[in-house]
Amino acid sequence: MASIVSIITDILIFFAIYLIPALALNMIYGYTGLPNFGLALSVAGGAYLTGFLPGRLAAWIFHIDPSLNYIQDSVYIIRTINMSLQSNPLLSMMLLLLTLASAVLVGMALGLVASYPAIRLRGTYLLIVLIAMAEMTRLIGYNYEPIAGGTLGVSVPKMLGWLNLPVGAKNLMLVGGSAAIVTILVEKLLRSPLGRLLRAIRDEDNVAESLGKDIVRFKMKVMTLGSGVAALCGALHSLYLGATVPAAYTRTDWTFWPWLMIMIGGKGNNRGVIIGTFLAIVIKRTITIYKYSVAHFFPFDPVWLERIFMGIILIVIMTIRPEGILPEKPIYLRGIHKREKERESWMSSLRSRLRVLSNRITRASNTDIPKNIAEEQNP
Amino acid sequence: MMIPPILVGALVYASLLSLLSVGYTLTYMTARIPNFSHGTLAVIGMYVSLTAAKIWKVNPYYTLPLASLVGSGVCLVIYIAVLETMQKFGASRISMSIATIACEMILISILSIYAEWALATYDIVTRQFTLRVFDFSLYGLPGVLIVSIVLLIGLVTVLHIMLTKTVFGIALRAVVENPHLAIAQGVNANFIVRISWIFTGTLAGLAGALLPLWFIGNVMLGSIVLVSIMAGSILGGLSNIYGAIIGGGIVGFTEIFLTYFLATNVASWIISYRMIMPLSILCITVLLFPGGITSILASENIELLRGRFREWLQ
Repeated sequence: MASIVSIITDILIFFAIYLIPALALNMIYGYTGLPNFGLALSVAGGAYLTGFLPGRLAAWIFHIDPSLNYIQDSVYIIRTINMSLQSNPLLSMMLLLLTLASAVLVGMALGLVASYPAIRLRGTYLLIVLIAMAEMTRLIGYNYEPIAGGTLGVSVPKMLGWLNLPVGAKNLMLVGGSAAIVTILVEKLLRSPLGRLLRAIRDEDNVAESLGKDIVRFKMKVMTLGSGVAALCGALHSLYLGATVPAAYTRTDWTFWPWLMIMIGGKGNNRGVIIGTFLAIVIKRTITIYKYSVAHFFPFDPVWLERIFMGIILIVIMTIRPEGILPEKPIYLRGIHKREKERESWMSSLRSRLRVLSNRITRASNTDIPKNIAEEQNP
Repeated sequence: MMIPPILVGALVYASLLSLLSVGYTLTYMTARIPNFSHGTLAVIGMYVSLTAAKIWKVNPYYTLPLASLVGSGVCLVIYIAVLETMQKFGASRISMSIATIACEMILISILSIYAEWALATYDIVTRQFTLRVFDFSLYGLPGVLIVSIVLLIGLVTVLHIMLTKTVFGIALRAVVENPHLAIAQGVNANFIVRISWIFTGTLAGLAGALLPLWFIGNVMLGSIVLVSIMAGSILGGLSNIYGAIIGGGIVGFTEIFLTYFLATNVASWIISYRMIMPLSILCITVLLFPGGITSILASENIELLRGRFREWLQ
């Protein structure tokens, strides 16, 4: 049985990993209204880049025998790289930053490609094309070995090996730190004028267009940016696992789960997304961690119960509370909010004065007109 | 008469994919959402065949009605328990589309539980299985080829008669065209939609039950085939049943036959990328001809092409 510390660490790591694509999806769908059913495309792109780039680059830097096959001898090559990186923190950090930045760029490039159908198509056609693009990426990664090892995958160098900390703490630091930075940046971005414009595009794109906003360009920007953020998650997932396994980037795990998280928490609201992601991960990881303890009760793998349970939860929440646990609220800006409040108080005082005045007039006029007419006027 | 196995495979797959694409199109026309659990409905029929052959020791052909019954029952439950309820609560189409992914996940989990239970209890292969040994042969032709083609022709005929000659078909078309107007005219739209979902489940159950008689069956096959089903339906125009028959056939035949042709004549590694074929067809159709094959074949478009051809000749 795993210790409580390792369980909490595991939950926090997965929470941080899944929070990133959930926030990206919230930006794309929750704020802009583009139903991105191909989120797995960008996540897989980031993961493939992590399987492809840092290992090869480090092998070249450390002059590892070039006659070795990087995919088939990946375990040996990565072990040698890890030993060299342990004594070279600066190079490790540079490699880590380069990997993460390249993953974001790859994700943005994939997002830009995906944005072309996203701006031309609507509804079902868009959903189907984005799903198809994500499937294509998975299939190529799964079958084309040189990218990320194909069916078996490929090992990834440990770039925090030089830190003298437990493995869980190192992973939590990397993934949690990245998730915190992403959360702050996304929140700032969505509270900026761009965020309000995105909401306007989502709610009524014709109005936004009539105000001179190039909605096509903004939709493309959001798809590109959101995909870059999602790709960061793919890179972090690979770094956490220590390997890139293309078979892992399925539409259930990396499209459906982030959708479930934002639907549970509430779309168009980052706080809701954080809550939704946390709840979903706690349930998912608790079942995964404890499934072996209860496995003897069932003649099958209890992991299937987790999927049934989560599927039912999603359907129930979308049916009875489609806006999620924390529904979206209007954003008040400090200055504008104050003026709104002042205007509101001025309007309410004016309304009450008018009411008093009209009552006085009514009372005065009731004395001159017959009773039945007065009743008609003041029922 | 001897037909090359690859041609048999292509014809069987094309016929069954046509049936599945028709079902997918029918659900799209009535509910206006893509049913992402449609491929897994076929897997239910597949496991009915497996149960019949390996546990009950009955030929899978005898249990085709049972497979269709189970498929239609599950399909109806999905519609009534999930989509209809969500509709009553005012859920958006996006939410309903996500709900069908949740349904797919639930169905895959239930089928996986069943597969693991059957493996533990009866010691039979429940993943990566084939039932080809249970197939019959007629004049050297595999039974599944004859049955799938006959089934496709029969069901297409029934569907055509139903849509054009019966009150139900006219009501269905009315509901698809304008549900509010149909309801105002006294059509019980809810009943019509439910029947069409039952029909969809029947087609999926039948197609799924026949699949393992030639191909390798697996719990995840539905998720894989779903892309081909969507490609067939979109190639057919997404809202056109006759188009779905043609689209499904083209996608199925191309997927098997063209992959084999390229693998034998260009490079053998192409076989691993078989699924790229329907995905490419899907993307090209959506981006270049969103109206599908039926829009290309529409008389005005043919006339336009003829005119351009004449201009070019002059």
